[in-house]
Amino acid sequence: MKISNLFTKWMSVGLISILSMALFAGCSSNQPTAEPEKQSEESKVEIEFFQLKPEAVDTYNEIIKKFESENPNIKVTQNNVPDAKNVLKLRMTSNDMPDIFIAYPNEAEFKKYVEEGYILDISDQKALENVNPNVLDSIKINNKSYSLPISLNTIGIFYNKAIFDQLKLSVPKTFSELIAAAEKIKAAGIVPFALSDKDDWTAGIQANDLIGMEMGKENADQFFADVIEGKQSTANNEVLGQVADKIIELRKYGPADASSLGYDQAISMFSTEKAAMFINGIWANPSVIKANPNLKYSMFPIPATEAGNTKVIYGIDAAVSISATTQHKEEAAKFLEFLSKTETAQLFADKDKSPSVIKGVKVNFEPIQNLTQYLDENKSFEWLHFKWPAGMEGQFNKEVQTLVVTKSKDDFFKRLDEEFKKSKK
Amino acid sequence: MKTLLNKHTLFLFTVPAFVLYTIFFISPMFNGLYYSLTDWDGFSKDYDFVGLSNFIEVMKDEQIRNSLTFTTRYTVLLVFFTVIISLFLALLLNSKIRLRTFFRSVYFFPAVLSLLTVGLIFNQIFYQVLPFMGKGLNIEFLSVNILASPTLAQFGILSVNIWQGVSIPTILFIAALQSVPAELIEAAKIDGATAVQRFRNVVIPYLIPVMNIIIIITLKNGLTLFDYVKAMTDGGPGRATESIGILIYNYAFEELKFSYGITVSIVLFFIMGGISIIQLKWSSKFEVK
Repeated sequence: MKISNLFTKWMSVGLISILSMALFAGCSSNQPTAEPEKQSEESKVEIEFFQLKPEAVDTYNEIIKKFESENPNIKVTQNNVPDAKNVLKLRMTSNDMPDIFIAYPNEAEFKKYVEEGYILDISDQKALENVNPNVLDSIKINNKSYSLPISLNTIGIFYNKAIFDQLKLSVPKTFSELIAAAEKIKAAGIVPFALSDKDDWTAGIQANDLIGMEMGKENADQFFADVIEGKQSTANNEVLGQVADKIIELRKYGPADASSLGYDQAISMFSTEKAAMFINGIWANPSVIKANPNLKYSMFPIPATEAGNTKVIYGIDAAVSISATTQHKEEAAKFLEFLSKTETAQLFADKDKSPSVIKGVKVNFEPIQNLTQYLDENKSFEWLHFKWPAGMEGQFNKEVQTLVVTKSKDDFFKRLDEEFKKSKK
Repeated sequence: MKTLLNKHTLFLFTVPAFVLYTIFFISPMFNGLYYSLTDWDGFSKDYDFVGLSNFIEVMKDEQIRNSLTFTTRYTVLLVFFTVIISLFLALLLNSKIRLRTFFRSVYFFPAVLSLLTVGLIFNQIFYQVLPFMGKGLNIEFLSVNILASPTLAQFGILSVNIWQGVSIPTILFIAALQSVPAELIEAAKIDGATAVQRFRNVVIPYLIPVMNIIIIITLKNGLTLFDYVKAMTDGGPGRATESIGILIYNYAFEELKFSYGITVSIVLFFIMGGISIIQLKWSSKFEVK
């Protein structure tokens, strides 16, 4: 009896400790199990490339393959996850930064990452020598470079050439011409715009563009700075009122269920020719082509009220940064240098269909020619939210989305005033 | 000696669960309480103490009031329909019908699917199938995606939630119905009680404990509503379906107000705790002693 009792006791103690050990082993990183594998490829250095753009995964895989054949002792692992921007932020706070990652150096959030010391200063890297110096200067923080910019983005209106030809429409030069064209398309029984208001940013970028264009970039910057300080109200601004009207007017020409459609659904509507136009960024081009390689389409800028005022909005679409805590600085720098080579950048531009900031790269992609022409002629301005406090862009997009659903301009202005004031730190 | 050993052994058996629970639930909770007193944005290395100002801000926040109203209304409807429908189904599935086991598994099936998967599937149904049917049958409000309408979207989400949410309560109710002693019902019958009287006075008291659990679980599901909304409307159209869960997520991850998001979740925790206590006290009056 006694023995069996003792046995139970020690048995249970043993079991419990084994159990808890197993559990805690599960919590800690699984380095021990990964080790034997690593030793077999002893000389190989592995660097992680955390990639935020789902449409660019294939392109980067191709680039990585080339890089690895030139540098057999470096292995680059591309990692693309859903909701990547948030994942990156969480990995920052938990001290688990990837070696290399895609960054958006114009945004207020990126400046905060730099201030917090998460990002490596790469001012003296060879990779930057091949970049357009104006662009490089525009993203310096305290006179230092923290990222290698690769391509620019801009937005415009995708249009279906076949539908436009059939209805004898020409590219609209003013906003009222755009509405007139939409009216004709609607009369022909086709949805004019594939709107996707479920994804708030797709509505937000329209407002961002229209405000900057109609107000003028400098005026707009000053105006929002004043709103943040509480010196101005959005409700009293005439231009802003007109922009809100335009945003609401566009909704008359969208699908009836626009507010339940997402970005992907809008792309599918446009590429399957169920809608004649689609307002979004040039980053959607690879997806549109993938969805329907035979689609005949092109793009034009969102027109201003006055024909001469039309400008395009732009920013750096993808830049690459190195983490401040990486163990493989040299290898990461080598990869950056490879990305900055004219041949690599040309390959990227051809696949990504985006204007490059690397010297000597030309994009030959008809649909964006119309927009890049505006960029070349300096009829362009940077995204407004680059000057706003971090986090404000998301809030702004949400408010624009609410506006298109409720159509209440008063509420829109009231909420904008409040949120801009709150964003001040 | 023997009892002492047993006590120790029993205690030791609780250790793993206790340690894990502390690490993954209790300590994050206190961590959260700590961060709610700061202005941490989610990734900065340093932050300031701001005292209770986050809580004061929460009280004044119009968005929170808006989503509290939505979440409360949603939860009330969800609890009401879940209890009624699952009780009805349990009574049906407990009666002597043909293919009883088959129907029981049919009604339980939705429970094994992930919330997000169900949300995404119904998203497509609302987008493609329902408008098609609505147009065919000339029902105006069904002919466009109901998730696109600020007034109807919440009922779209609610119906999906109920469709999946009744499965487990139904099983629990069936189990409770089987625990009602047959001789009690028989005795009531002999005493001349009608079917309704038998149900009210004999069966219901046995169902109360299970109903309590169901109400609390459904209440919790309703108040922390997130997955379905994320998959189906993402809080839209506008802010029409912005549940507290979505709001907390947006604060923490989209708008860089991490500590503020945590503050809202702590407020939600107290609301939920309060409601659960009141509900338990109230319903225990009707229970079988």
